[in-house]
Amino acid sequence: MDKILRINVGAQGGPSAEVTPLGSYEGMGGRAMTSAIVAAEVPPLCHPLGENNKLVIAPGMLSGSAAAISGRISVGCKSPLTGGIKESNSGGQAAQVLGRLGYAAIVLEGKPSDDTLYKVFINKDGVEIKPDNSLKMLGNYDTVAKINAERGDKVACISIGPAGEMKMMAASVACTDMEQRPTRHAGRGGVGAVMGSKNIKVIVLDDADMPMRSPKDPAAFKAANKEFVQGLRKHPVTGEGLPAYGTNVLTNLINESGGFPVNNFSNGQFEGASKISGEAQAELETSRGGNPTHGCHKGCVIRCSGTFLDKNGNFLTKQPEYETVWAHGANCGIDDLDTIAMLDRLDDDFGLDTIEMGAAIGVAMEAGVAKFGDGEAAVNLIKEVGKGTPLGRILGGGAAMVGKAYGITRVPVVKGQALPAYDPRAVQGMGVTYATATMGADHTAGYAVTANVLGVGGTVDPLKPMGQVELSRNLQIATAALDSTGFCLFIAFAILDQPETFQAMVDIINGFHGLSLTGDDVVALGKSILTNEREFNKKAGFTAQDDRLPEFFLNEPLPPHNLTFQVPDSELDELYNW
Amino acid sequence: MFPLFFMKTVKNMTEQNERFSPQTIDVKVLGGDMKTPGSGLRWFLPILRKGFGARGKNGASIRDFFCRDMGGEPDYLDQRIQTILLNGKPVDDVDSTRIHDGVVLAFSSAMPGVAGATLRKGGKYAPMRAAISCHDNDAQVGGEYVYATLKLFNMVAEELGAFFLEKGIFVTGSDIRDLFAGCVQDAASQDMEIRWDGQKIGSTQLAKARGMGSRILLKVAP
Repeated sequence: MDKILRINVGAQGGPSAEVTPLGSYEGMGGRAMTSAIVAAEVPPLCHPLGENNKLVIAPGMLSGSAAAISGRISVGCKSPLTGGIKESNSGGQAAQVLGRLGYAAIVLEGKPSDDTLYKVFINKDGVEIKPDNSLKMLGNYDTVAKINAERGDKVACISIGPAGEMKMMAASVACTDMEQRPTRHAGRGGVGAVMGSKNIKVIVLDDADMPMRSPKDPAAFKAANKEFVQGLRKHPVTGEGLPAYGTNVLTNLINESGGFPVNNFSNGQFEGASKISGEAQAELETSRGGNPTHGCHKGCVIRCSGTFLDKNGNFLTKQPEYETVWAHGANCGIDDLDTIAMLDRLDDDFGLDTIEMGAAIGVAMEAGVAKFGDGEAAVNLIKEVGKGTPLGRILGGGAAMVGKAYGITRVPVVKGQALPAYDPRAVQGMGVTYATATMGADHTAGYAVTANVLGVGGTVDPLKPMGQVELSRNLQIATAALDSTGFCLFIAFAILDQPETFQAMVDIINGFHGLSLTGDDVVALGKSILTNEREFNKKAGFTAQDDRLPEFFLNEPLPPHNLTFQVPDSELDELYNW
Repeated sequence: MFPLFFMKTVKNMTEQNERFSPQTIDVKVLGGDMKTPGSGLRWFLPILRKGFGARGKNGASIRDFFCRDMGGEPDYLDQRIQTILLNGKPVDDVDSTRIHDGVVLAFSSAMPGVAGATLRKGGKYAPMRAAISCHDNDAQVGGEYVYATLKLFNMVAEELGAFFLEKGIFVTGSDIRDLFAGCVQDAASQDMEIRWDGQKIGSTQLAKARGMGSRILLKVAP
């Protein structure tokens, strides 16, 4: 990947493409790339939907190679939802195809001069940008179907749905999976709205006749990759639990622990949890002829996704993830998997973040717009969003907007972004991550390897409250580094437990790029990314007061444990002191 | 795959059950086993996840409850049951955490995500959930047997389910009705021979039966 494609959407006569060398972005991928470009080129005080914001799409450092499970793509910008820097991450085929086409990033910049919608086609011969208003307000599924009719079914698509065209703050960017379905999303932070503000509806990638990216040290790379795959396959999470049940395997356990947010974060246990658990979901899928073990991109050896068929045996949506099942399920009092699957399908088609929409509907239910538990009403509310009605636009603006419109105080957002599926009053360390992450409330910000494996921070004293802050810091550093590689975050479980698998991961990077990275180098990468992001947010006007949970978490005890969030502000403020 | 899990003969568990003579429902699953995917075990997984009664000595450590009272293998407890919740609180030490009457225990394999790693038994991220962790509980060590509710999740249910069902699990009348109401939807469930206190009964009748009491011993075997 030795070049960057820049598309100036405001050029005279329509969008123009320019291919530039990497320059100072040499060696970067994924989140390292998106955050570096956004930090360097986007004025922190710019309007997120204006001409000075940029949408950066970057595959990981290893994407397009034979490295297992390396198909993650990062989408970055100034977020219209949070007002800060954003990196949103997705699976699907796009990362690998873009990597093989040799592009380390696509950058959409400028401001369109009219409302013409464009499609971009990239193959080994170059870049074509064509107007196509026939795509206006099409759902992602119909958009991809049209592209398949034009370009065949071996392409990878990056698209927005009507929500992105309408520039809603909960709008996502969709990526197609191996079956040409737009089921994988860079969901968080309204990145779809920024793509919509550039009037780019779809980017079509075709890597026909392009070879796999080749490693600098093939023998070392191959050996490390083999060891890595073996490690993933033998670990009970990556080799058994995730393939069998998907991420929704968490529902029963998180519910049992009293940290499963119910009815807009008013309780920590849901009576209907077992009905919507990963186990129940896998059984239902199998009984209807669906597949609970499915990878979102070629080379995935975990295969945590699946296919959800409706009662008539027709494909409805990909297996809903834990976050989606929670957001549209327990958070809204809904205990029916078919309803949740329909909501997931609508989110994917309209191009919406399922977490933000579930939280928004939860706040709307608290406001009396619908009753908790009314699945039909929830489906109708998402349809309002797709149609862009006034109510739909409020909902599509996210949970914070709904809360303001209806005067609700229990609004679960940090930096404007809705909290995911773990109540911070139960797992307080998650609350530290939610409060301090540069991205806003983000469950993926604090993943990956243990402090001890990286040799950072030493042994944490579990009796000291500071232990939680230190753990969250180390996890955020490691996650930022991992987000740059193209590896799926779910490798974290195996590399957390198995030092040899962690070493194999580092050896893959070294074998591919001809480097000699150590754990310290990985830490340094993660720190540099977080430093970039933190600096951007400061310049955008963020202060320590933005690294806080909403007040209700401090005041309202959560049943069944009846706890409030207890980590002091002074300790939250220490997280970035390294 | 974890090696096949062999349980010791639970002579004392059978003795406990017989001493109290609860109503018993015996189910024989015909034409198959209870261990392979898609087997008759699938009909009973929901009740294993919802929770069933298991008897152990008051004040027993979780290890003693599982290994001594239930007949479980210590290796399985240490290596396979990676997450344990007692009354919703994550357990880190199975030797010092004790059961008492009415306790709810949940067993799970290792879970994904930071949350999964955080809830793990003795995990490095345990401090992140210190506020809800299970600390020394003051269960009195005594001689009598008490009832714990045991919930088995994900792979643990698949791997331990057949054993517990064969030895017998305590369920309520409402559990029985729900279980067999679900079974009658599946034509293959006709391959079951059911006896209630020794008398033959069909699954459809069982799905509507009343007056079964609050503690019934359900035993299922191939």
